[in-house]
Amino acid sequence: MRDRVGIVTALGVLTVLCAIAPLVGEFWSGVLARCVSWMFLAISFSLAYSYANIPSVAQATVFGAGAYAAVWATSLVGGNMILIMTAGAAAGALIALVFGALLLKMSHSGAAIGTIISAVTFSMLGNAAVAYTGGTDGLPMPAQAFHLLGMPFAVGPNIGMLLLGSAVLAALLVAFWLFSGTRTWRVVRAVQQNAMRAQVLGYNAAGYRLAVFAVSGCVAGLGGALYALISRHVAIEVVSLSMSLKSILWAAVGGVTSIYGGPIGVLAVQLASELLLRWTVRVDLIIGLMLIAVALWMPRGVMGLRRPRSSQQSQ
Amino acid sequence: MKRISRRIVLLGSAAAATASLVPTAVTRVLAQGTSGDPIVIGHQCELTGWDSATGFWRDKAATGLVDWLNANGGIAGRPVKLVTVDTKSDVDTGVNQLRHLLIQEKVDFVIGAEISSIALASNTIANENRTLYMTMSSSEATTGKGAAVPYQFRMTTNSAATAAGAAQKYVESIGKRWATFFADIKWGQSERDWWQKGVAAAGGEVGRAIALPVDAPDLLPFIAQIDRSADGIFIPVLNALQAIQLLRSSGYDQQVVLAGLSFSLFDYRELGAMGDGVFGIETAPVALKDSASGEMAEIYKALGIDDEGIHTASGKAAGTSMIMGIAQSLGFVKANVEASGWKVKDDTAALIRHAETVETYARGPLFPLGNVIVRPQDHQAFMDIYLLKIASGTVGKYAVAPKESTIYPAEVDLTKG
Repeated sequence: MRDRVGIVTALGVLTVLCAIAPLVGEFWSGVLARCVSWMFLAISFSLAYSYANIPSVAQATVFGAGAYAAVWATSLVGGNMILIMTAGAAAGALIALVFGALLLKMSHSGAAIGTIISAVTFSMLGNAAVAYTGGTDGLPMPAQAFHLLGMPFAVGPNIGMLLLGSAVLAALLVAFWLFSGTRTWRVVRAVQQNAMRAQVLGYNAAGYRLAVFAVSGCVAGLGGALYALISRHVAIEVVSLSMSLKSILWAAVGGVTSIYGGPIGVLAVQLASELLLRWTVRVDLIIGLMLIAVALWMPRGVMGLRRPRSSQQSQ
Repeated sequence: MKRISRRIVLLGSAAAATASLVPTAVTRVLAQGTSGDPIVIGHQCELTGWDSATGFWRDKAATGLVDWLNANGGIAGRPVKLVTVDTKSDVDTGVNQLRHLLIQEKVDFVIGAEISSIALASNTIANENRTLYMTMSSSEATTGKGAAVPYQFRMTTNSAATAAGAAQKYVESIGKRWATFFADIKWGQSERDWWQKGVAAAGGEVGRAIALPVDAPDLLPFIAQIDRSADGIFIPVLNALQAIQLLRSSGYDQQVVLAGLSFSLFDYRELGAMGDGVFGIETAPVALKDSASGEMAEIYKALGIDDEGIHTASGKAAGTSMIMGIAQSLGFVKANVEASGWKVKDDTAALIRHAETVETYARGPLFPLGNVIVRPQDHQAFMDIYLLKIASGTVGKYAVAPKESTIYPAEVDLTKG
């Protein structure tokens, strides 16, 4: 059940990013650091969609909750980055637990509509609650002496944050890879493939799905906290429906059925966008065409290319 | 029937993509009678996305006025190079584009974004990079407590200033009882609050303010809640065009005042007969006859705008407030580069110290509508505010609120270091 090619590919991508960062300069290091924070969001969508069986169009809401929690936590706990990231992850998990408990009462398509409504509702609430979110103006990350494990740490779009984000993501992916060889994970897969059969066999299918969805929220929230530390400013746009749609696109390009595809999807779409922006204002048109091509000829995304379709079907 | 192959589709897609390739990081240097290295000005502009209607005018103004500057001696005799990037009306893209300007293009000055979230996220970065950021945001928070930074100046107006200046005039001429229909976002809430203060200071009162939630698909249920007994309705919403059409078709015949700079969001002529009795709050009139300014005529000529304020190439009514913001930002840079002896980017701190001693920018080619005063404490400019009114299908000057009436208390004092 463990996907060796997937983990090696994802870790390889992260290693290359960190290795080239000193060579590509300050601007691109910042771009890559931000991309790494979005990788958490793409992975969280894959987890929710492919393993909790919840087609969540509200993952950015959870990501945004993590980002805002990081800003609020910084005001309360100062510059302790471990606590700030923990606050983001906890906020994401909590929101996902609440969402998940509601969504599991709905049908598959009903849950998708439910997440759209949730995303729009939270965006509206965030816009109205200016005192807490800063609304469209957003909230700046409070100026603090940030530190990680007792060492001073410069937050912002820089190499340090790229390395930190990559290290946290690599640890997460390795943990997932190890976990995917356990019996518990086999139950998760069984529930994902046929929840009713798993229920009849005595497993608490809803409980497993809720737990996986909460983990996806935790991952998104952690990514949100890293995003806040990198951007140093969080605006309500981050919880918008369009941000959630981006996460779906990233996951689709990388391969939505593999959590290892998310990092590749983010890099492919965002780096293409960043490069195209130097030449044209019609970036979204070109990215749209690229996505149509992916949907037509790479329905399983980049990660789906590594095996013939027949073997993919049997997965 | 011939089957469409994958190759044909790919080739078609590639052709469409290639056809859409037009330079976006546009660089312009036209130097006549100038010498030396160009002064590089970056422009972080909303060329696409939801705010592209106003970005269109800022782009036209920056491009045309930099050409004009280069044709008229440049800045301190040096040519000016403009590098324009697209924010896509998106915070992350906008910030990345600013970093591109600062780190890769190594610009000397930046004319910033109009969207407040982009401007607020950007001014800190520009400040750290020690690059002067001329913000175009109209959110008063941009120069307020927690957001004002030494390397930022604002040469356009903002929500607080327009409400302070306009409310007095409109209460006097329209009536004391007001209703507000506002977008339930930071900008709309800010406009609501400042308008309420302005109306109260003028002896009027604002009744129930109706919030329009973001992305509301139908405005009618919210419009129906507006107090029909109010003398006037103040409207800070992004979809003002639709709001006015629905108000009129719902039987509201009150005078309507659009929030500051709204006439840059849409072409007022799209309102047709429903536009009559609609007022706006801008930093410049549209028709040239309302400004009686030779300098404004020169700017219109440089930008290809006719005497009625219609941009010849696009056929659109000019977004004059956007044009004024860009003109005055360029005017600020030119005046202070020349007076402070600025040569290279390391001199920007000295330029700022000098700028903080300049209280008034006299009427001139880039300050075409009269003197502009800049408050050193928060680096905010104050200028006359034009109250416009649509009548018989054209927008004309209704009154002018003098700059002194637009001044509100500063929240910070950047001069204290």
